[in-house]
Amino acid sequence: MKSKPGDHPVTKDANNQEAALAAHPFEQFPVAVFTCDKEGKLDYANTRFRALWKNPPQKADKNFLEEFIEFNPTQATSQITATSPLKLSLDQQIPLENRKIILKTSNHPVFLISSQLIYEEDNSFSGASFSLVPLPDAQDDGINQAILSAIVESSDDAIISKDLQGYITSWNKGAERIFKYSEEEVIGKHITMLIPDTRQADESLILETIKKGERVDHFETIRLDKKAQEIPLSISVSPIKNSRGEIIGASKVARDISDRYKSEERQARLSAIVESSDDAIISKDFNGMITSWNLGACKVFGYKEKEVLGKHITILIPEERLKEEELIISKIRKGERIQHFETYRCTKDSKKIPVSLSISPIKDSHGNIIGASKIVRNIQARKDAEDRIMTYSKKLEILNSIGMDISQNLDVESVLQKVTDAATKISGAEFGAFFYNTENEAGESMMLYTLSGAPKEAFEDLGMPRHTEIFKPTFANHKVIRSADITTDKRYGKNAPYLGMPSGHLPLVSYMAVPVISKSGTSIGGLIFGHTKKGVFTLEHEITVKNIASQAAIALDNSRLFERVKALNEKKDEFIALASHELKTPLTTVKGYLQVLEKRIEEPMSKLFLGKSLNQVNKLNTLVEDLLNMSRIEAGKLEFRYEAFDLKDMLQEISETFVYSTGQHELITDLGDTKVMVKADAPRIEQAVLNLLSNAIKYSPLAENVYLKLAMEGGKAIVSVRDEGIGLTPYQQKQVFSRFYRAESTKGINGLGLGLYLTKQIIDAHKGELSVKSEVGKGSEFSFSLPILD
Amino acid sequence: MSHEIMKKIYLVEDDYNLRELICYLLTDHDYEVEAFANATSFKERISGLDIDPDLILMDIMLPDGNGVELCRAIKADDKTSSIPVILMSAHADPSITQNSGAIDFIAKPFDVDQFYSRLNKYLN
Repeated sequence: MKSKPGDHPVTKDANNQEAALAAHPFEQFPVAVFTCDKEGKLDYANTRFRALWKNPPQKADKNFLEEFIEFNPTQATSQITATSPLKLSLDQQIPLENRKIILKTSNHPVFLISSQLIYEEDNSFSGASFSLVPLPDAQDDGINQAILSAIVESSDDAIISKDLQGYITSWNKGAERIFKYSEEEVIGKHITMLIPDTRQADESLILETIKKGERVDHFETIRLDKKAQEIPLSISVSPIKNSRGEIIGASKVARDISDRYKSEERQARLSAIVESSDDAIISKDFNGMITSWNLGACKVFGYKEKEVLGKHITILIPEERLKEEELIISKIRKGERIQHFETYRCTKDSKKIPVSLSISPIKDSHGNIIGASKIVRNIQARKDAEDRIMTYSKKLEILNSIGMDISQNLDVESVLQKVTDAATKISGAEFGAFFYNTENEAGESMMLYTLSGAPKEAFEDLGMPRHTEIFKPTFANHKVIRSADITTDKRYGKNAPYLGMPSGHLPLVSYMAVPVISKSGTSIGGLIFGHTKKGVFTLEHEITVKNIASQAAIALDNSRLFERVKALNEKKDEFIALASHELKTPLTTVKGYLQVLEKRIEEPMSKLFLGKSLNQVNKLNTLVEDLLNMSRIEAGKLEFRYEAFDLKDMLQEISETFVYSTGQHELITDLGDTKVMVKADAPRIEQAVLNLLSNAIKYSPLAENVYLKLAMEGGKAIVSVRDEGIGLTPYQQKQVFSRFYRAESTKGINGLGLGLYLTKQIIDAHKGELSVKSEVGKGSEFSFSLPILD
Repeated sequence: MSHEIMKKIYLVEDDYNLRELICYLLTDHDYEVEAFANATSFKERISGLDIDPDLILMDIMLPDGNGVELCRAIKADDKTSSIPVILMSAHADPSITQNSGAIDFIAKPFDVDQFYSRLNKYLN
């Protein structure tokens, strides 16, 4: 479009340049203006234009247009043509209208350039005037555009544009890489080809947003690649506007976030684990300030996250354990871990709980330790379980020891003391007592028998409890009473004169009374436990003590029976002692008179008869003596007086003085030539030998010889008495040393069955050994050993 | 047998028959005997004046006392401590006479010859 000269306030005054310049109508124009001749030589530049340059272009510079101005580089720089479009417009005499240019100044400002052709008065073309209107920064300049294009192409992100109908209009290399489609495959196709069925709704939403001129930022979704693989993407979509500002499409930047997705997933999983953990997971920095706090930590410590973040870790540490923290920090600083460290920590309500700590250093990306992560496990339950096991095994131990004592011990008092002690220990009572249910004439009294945890004097002055409202159920009705606080029991304090515990009574709050019931169903008594604190006794205690009580009942039944038997036995021994004494007195008289008579009578037959009578008196005395000795042994009253003597001497004497009751036997001795010194009770050893000799004779009625032998064997003296008599069966050999045992085959042979029993007791008391070798019909050999003196 | 001066023996024995036998045995050997059937009468006698036994022969088990204790009392009293005491018992355990101060012990039933030899040992 050619402009008419009159329309333009442009004049030409080449001859008076200086003046013209100053007077040029454009000189103070607010817009940069310059004029060129038709060759493109700079003719005039106004102040504003010149100000754009450090070294303003010189007038008549004919390369000015090429060297100073770059033409509208909307595409890549490579597209700048060799011939400047400004020059071209001059050559072709076509004015420019709002074309973008970049000035080759240091900061590459962008202008919109317009030109007007200048004609001479003869209408000949003489040049053009150019006005430059600066473009605001917000609008991209050419170079940025170029850079952007380059970025778009080189971006790892998919950058796609689409029209408002959703048809793809551009597709960069990144899109090719992510979606595996080439540009040709997708241009003109609908964007929904990339969208999974389940997310088709996304697209209409995005389009709605775009149509409103709004952006969609970092919208995370899933798209499909060519192989229909799902790709997690973060999408940002911006509207594309034409020059009139109308929205004509959308540009879409899609970033593949599968890596991030994966690590996020891991992170999420980790944090889910951290959050769902029952353990407290806490991190702290080097100053000990808490930097994270999971749900488990809330549960374990009772603090909410916001209550502790930024607080010092020592709020969780009991005062006496503050030193631990120093130790932990010093280990963490060295990069060491701490595993399963068992200690105590404080909860919000100042409760101490047993915990197991595992602490690891936290390192930054350079490997520097910046803090510590701490896993805290509440091991209360475990501790409780351990304690329970401990308690159980202790109880078991106590119960076992009770069982042992009961089975080994038949003494009522010591059994009851053990039972009382054990039950007191197990029930956790401060004191426990066993009361015997001994009825007086009024039929209502219990006797304190054993006491544990308090001195007996504590009850001595109080008198015995009676069948009060509190006691009666246990002692009369076989009922357990267990009370957390007996003083609040409705049965308490009902009985005069004390109306409760008498003054001076041990203060008792927790109370438990368990009856001890005999097999026969009668109440033997009751175990009563007390504690000065409330609520000490549990159902578990009750059950355990009931078990003990039933064991105790059995033990007491046994003990009572045993005591009765023992009493009878003692009576019997007492009787034997008395009887033998009583027997001996007339025997003494008989023997005395017979001996007096024997001396006075000369007539041979009478003398013989008297001798026989005396013999029988002596025998009778021996029997009585045996009985007496046996009762002494049973009563543990047989005493021994040890003295050193020569056993060979003694046996020699016995063999010489032994009076044969039959006269048919000959005693054959083999006693050796050397002395055999022993330390023993000589009369009792003599009694033992005589017992064996008289037995040998008694049980070999058809034999002629009995043998007495002394030998040394293994540092011991062995005395053997052998007969050739009726002998003993193996069973009889086992029984032969029992009290009152007489072999069946010995009927018709007199004796009490005490001789061998007493002999064995005597030899045992000397730490010797009495044994028998025997064969039925061939005879027996009884031997005893005695330790010899060196 | 004859003695220039008859030795005097106090006999304490509760059994009548045995007391009679021992009295016979002692007088038969020319000992003078004063016999007591129980501890009470003996204690009465010994605590009085005019006591002159050369020996006391005493049973241990007495209905109203114990020979061992009586013997200790005799030995504790200056007036009687020099009189030898022989204890007798049917419990043939001489250990019961330990620390009693008795000079000897005769187990019942005894052998008459041994009985005499014991007495002679302390009286001649």
